[in-house]
Amino acid sequence: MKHIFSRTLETTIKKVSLIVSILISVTVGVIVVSTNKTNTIGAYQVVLENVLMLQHLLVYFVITGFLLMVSTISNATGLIASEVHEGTFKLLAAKPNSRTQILAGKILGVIVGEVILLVISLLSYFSTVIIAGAIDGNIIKEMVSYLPAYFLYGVVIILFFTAVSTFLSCIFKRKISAMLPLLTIVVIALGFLPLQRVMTQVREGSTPTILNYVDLNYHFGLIFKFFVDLVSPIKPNRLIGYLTNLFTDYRLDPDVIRQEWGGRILLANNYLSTTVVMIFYSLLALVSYILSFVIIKKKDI
Amino acid sequence: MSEYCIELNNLTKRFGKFTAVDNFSLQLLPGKVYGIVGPNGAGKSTTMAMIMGSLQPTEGTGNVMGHQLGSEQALKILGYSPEFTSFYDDMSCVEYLWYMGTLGGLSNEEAMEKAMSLIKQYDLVEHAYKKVSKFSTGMKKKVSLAQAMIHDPQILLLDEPTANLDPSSRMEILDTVRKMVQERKLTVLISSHVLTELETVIDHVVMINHGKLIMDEDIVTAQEKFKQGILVVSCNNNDLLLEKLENKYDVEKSKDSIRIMTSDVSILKKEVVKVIFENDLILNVLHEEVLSLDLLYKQALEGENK
Repeated sequence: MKHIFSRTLETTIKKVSLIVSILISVTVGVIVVSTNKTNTIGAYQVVLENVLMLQHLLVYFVITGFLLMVSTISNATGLIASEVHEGTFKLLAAKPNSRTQILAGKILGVIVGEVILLVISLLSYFSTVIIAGAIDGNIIKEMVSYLPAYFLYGVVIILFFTAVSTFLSCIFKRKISAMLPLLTIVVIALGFLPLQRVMTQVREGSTPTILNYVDLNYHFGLIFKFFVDLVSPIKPNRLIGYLTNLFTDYRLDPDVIRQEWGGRILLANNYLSTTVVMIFYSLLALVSYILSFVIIKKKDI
Repeated sequence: MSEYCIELNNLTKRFGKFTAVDNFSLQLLPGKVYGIVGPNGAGKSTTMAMIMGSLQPTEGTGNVMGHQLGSEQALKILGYSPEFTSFYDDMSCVEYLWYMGTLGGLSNEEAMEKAMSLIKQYDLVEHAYKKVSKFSTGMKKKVSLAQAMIHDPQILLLDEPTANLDPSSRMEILDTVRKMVQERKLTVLISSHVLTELETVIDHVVMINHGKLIMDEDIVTAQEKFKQGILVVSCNNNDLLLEKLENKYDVEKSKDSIRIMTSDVSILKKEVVKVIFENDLILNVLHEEVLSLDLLYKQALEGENK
């Protein structure tokens, strides 16, 4: 198993993945630094809140969002489907290792590889912010204090997407068939849904059904908020938070809802909380992992 | 414990409505070379894949030295070279063989040692550090054989090891197989379409058609069974010999010999010797024509299709 683990780890942290992760994370750092330059007039607290909200949003959408999700999906959907399609799995399975060992080695390889890429991305981002030297030292300290929260959220994203991707990789014969539905979900969750939320909010707000069952962006936002709140609670921010209401747990903050959404959403969120969302996604991941092991055992290669 | 190293009992494999292997039973004795022959789609590769555990039988059971098909213990005993071997794009020949060795249970050092020794044995030293995916078909087949051997298996399954190769590469691969069999006393199950070459390696023929076993015989017994009774004769005056025999037998003259067909070869042999003696001829060649695997295959299939 350890050789399959090493091989998968090696292919996960490819040169290209490393370069792309570093480049994107550095770009995010440059955006935060340059935006802060134009926004330094005002009370310390306002500047701090604005820069933190911008950091949360960019980390959520880009570093632990598109970048991490696409990388995890791309690597994990290929674990079985690519090898079966290309014919290399036949010889892998012909050596004296159980398929459970093969799959376990591959899953662990992807998880550890993605965690390493996540750490490199976060360090690249924070290094850029620090090296640029354009932000006040105290504000930078506050910004860096969120590193463990981002890391933990990233690990949750890796574990979840690895589980679902591996499951689809065990079912489909080609990597692309397993990858496309998941990439569509990511585009919907991080692209379409935030747009939809902003637009519907302008009218009268999202419906409870969409919020509870469809709005993956809201679900992931709640998980993100859970980890960030462990460091310091996110305060509703006039500039950015008002546009997206992304990290607002409406159930716990009824005033905001009454003010912006009306009682309908409050009712919907009586049972939708971070805990419920986290339990749901954990169960989904667990079931995906179990099914993957069951399927691979009986799969014809 | 059973005397057989592989036992397949009533194996059936269906893909939807299509039955690839139908109620197939086979026993393999250790130390023998078995040739599995049959037309395309007959079920040869499916049978091998089921022995390896890559395909799950729809019905039936089997074991490799008492271990369930596809189990870790069974895979430890088996070496497998599939018809189409795919390699990782980023791995050199050494890296690939080392990786396969470690997966076969060898330590890092053992795997490297074994990889280098197989590379030498298969004449791949010059290409050891080149990417396997860029190799020619013949060289890829050699790497495929080498990876099958890397964990010192007792039984080797070779699926079309000479397919898509030029004649010299085919001979080279078969020579390698022959050497392996002689040196290590392996049990081999080998499938091939090039029957004339296969018959120089195998000592047992397993014929399969439409997923069903139609022949499982020692090659000599099989040839005996389907023998046609053809005597090949050559003397210093073939024309005279032809003249004396053509009224009684079905005779065919080739460039420097005569093929005589009969239902009783013993009587024909006596008759030929008599004609030679009476006419004071010098006998150069007298032998019974051995049925080639190719002909054997055709006859068996014709019999099956009737």
